[in-house]
Amino acid sequence: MKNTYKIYLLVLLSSIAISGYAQPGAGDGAAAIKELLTAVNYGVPASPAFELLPGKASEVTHLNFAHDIGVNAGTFFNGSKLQAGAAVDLRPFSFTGGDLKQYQENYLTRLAWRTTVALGTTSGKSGGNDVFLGVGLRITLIDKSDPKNDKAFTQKLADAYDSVLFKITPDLEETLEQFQERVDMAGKSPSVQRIRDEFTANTWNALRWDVGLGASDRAASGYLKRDSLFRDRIGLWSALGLPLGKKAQLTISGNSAWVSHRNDTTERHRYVAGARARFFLSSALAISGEYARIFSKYPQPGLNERWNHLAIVAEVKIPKLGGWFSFAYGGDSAHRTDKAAKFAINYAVYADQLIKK
Amino acid sequence: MSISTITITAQGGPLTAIIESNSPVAYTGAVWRYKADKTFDQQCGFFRYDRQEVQLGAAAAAADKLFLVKGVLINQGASTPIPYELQVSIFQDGNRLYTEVPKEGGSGAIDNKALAFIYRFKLQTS
Repeated sequence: MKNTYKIYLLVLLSSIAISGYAQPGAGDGAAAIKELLTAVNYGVPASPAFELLPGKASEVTHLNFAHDIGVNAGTFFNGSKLQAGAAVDLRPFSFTGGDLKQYQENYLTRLAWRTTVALGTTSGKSGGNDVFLGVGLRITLIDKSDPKNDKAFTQKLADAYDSVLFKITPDLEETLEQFQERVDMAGKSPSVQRIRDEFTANTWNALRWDVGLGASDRAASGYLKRDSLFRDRIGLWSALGLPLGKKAQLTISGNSAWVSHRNDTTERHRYVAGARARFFLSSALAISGEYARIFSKYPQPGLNERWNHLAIVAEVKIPKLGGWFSFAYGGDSAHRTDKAAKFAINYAVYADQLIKK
Repeated sequence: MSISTITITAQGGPLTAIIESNSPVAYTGAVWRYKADKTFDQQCGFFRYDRQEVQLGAAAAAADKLFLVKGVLINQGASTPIPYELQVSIFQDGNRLYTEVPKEGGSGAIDNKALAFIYRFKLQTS
């Protein structure tokens, strides 16, 4: 009897999925659900500096040592002019030092090492000679999922490497490359992998609070002079992740963006405040619910607007359908610049899970 | 294969090696002792980021011996690479005789891959 119900359910889901693909526009169900889940960013950008630039920053160069800064300074300039296409990040307080013991015992040492600064340049979207310069700061104020700060995890990992690498008498003349190969093998060993997997499973939703600050300037014709440099955007982000038991996470976030005055009808400020809860009830069932309120301010108060964003998505893994069946409800409420916006139902079948940890 | 030579006092007290890092990276490893003809003598001990000291033995026993330090810096999910520099220091009677950054893997930056380092040294009496 139960099997009969399962078959009915499967047929029903299959027909919904097939009809979904067949309807005009419904074939974009997966894209619509993905858009619904990514419309509001509940985290802090990895590099706030690059978030405010009109174009994508190129590959980011990590500056690890003081001498790297001097070497890379040249990539930002072409003669006396700023050059588009440079991007670097660094940990500005790494010079303060502190070994892992100090890191585990001192909050300020952790804070210093978790702070990153990024700097990047891009050209404007519409071309021209202007160069946009972005600078940003990202700080993790609290991170209970920081593996370096977990003494038990670190000791377990070190024990595992010890048992694989150092219990045998080594060859005095083994080269660094040969030893590195053994270290690589040890990293893939089941004992090391199991410890890492357990840590990830236990801490994926641990308490974490990130903040970010970014600003971008427009350098007219690339000149870094006072009369050629114009503030373009400023952004501020905050995201607090909280565990809801072992299977769910709540994220509370807010961000604010300020845009320089272009004319009275262009957006000046945008504030977003929201929360998202994700539930991973089993390896085959995930549910995500989110709500955000968006405030958009203009120089002319009559143009100001605000709207709601809502998304409730449930994903079920159905191997016989070749992936995940998803049912979603949400969207944006209607507002001045998008009068057609509305909450809608979507469904789709797709191969890769969209709700991820 | 580079081997640093460190001069010790024959009449001095016991020798120790300390392996330190200037940044928050986890590392673990061991030190082994070899005879002058490069045949294995004994394992001196293990070291770790929070247990950095290894006993090398009495001056008389350690003189003219070769020592091999091997370790691994353990990757711990850094979002951006963490620069590091390791130092191996040799002490006798609590006095620092010598400090060196291992040329093989002793400095660099670690992100998502564990990194090996090796240091070899020979103790000789003055």
